[in-house]
Amino acid sequence: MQSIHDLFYGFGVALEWHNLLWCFIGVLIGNIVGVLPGMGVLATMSILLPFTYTMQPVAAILMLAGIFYGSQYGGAIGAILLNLPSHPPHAITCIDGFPMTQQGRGGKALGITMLSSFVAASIGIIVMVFASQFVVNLSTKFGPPEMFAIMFFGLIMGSTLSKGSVIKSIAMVALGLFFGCVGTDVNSGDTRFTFGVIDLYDGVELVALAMGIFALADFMINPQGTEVHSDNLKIRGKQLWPSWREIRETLPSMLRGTAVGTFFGMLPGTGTTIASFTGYAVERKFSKHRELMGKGAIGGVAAPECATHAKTQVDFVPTMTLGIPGDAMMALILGALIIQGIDPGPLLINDHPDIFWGLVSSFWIGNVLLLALNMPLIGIWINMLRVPYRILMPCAILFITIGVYSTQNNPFQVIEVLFFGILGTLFLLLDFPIAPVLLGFILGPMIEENFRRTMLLSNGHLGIFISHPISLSFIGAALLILIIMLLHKIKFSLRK
Amino acid sequence: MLKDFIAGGLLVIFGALVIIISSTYGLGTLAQMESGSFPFAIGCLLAVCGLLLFLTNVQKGWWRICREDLRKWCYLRTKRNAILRGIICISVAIIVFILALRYSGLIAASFLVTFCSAFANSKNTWRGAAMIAVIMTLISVIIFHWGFNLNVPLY
Repeated sequence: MQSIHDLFYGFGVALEWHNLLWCFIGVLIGNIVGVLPGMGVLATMSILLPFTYTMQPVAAILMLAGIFYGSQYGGAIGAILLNLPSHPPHAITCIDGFPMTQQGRGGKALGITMLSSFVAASIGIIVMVFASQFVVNLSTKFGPPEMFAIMFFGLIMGSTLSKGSVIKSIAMVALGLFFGCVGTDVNSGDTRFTFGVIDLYDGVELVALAMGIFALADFMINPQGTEVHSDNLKIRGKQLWPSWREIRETLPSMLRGTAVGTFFGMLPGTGTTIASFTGYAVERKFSKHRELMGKGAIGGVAAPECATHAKTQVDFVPTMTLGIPGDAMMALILGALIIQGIDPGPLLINDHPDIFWGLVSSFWIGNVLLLALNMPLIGIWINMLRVPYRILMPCAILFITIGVYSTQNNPFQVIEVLFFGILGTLFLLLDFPIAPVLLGFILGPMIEENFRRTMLLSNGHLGIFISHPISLSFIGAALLILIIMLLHKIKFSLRK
Repeated sequence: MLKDFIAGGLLVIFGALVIIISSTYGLGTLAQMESGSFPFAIGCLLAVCGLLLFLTNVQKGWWRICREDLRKWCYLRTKRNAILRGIICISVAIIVFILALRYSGLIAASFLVTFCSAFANSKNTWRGAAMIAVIMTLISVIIFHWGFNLNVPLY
């Protein structure tokens, strides 16, 4: 019952007019930038991150969450209408979304996407309310060994279950951990890997790293952009609304997608891509209209979109209550929280109930805002799809450079962005997955800290991880997954 | 194939560098960890990943496959030039931005970074780039100078 009470309190926080305003601005900006071709959710969020630095913590986090679903939805517009996935999870939305556009039902697909987001948010709130209490109660029993084990598990999951080579993903996580080491060591006060550069004493700047590898690298490797053919795209607000019959028929798909997303949300380290792909696979198995899948089935749009949203929302539970981000996006939000001076962890819900419960309820409010925003403005969004890449790219680079500079008024950070941009380009050229870098970067200092404390507790005996049942199960599970994935890879390469 | 070998090689070199540098910070023991211990482990992990990348790719005739990959890459001239152009134009734009911010102010910096980076895309003409740059300079002055009160002189 306490949770219900807290939830109402959260609605009170999120409905305060200035918080509501920032949530609205976040949704609006996220939607605008997300629609622009070539801007993924991660790139959008990292470019807009500096703007939240000067804000109140609650408003900042509400705005970031707003940017997230705004850009998530904005990305879906490109995926559905133009077959242009700017964010990997949307690749799966294209499969059924684009055929719907070709059949003249593009507006309905967009409406269903919004509705999916709303349904996933509504169910996600209930899950969050109960799961967060559960995790917090559990986490009071967590010591350093358990925290280390869960982070280890998250890192392994994040690197093995993403697309592409397992070894390369692990290497990227390790590289992220390395960048996390740069700067002053908290325990000894030594500076590491700074090479005498005073600007590096505080460590690598999160915004610079995120913008460099997610946004700038993308522009460098693909400066020509993708050709956009957007002839006869005319959709009015009215056409967005699917009929009651369609909603009734799609509801099971949405629930299936949400269930899949919630499941993956519980597993730290699994990305949204795997959630949306599994959501689609499940839908293909259980849908009543299996023969329509891939040819414009409305459920094929709803299920993966629901899965992505539910996954991200439930992901906030480990991110906020344990301080362990599930994927690169959560890592970004966690970084924003830390910059605001808030320490995510079991104490967060008690110390800053306004942030946690405000965030939970803002998912719902943000989605209502999204609906309200898109009914009248869909025509404008569609026109924005036509903005040529050659104009968009220099504008984005301007915002990246000034945005990074404005975080600390320090030109060195701009050099960092350039460095990470070139590094990211190199990784992309060599087929490395880049999202794990951010995961390693955020978790690096925490994982080192917890490992050190564990070793102090146990006097240097690694056996402590085995003697504690919770840490044993997490480390065991992580190693098991790792071994399975590696064996699979080796077997595969031998067969070649 | 070729990409994996290059990636593996880079990882091994980088891992070795991390190991060497971190050992100068003091390695300590498990009971008494020092600031070099954790980076040392990361360096080992990087090097091992690099080696594994090598080993899982060694197969019969790997030399020929690599040569084939290299040849294919050489044929992709338009793609290669586009990437090179992107890297050069954007890097120049950012360096010019820093210099302009240092010696002048927001207007020059905004104009130059937009103008230079516009040429990363081969479809932009001189006039087009200048036009985008002028408009974006105006917007950036409105947003950052008046909106966010960014602590930078205008010119």
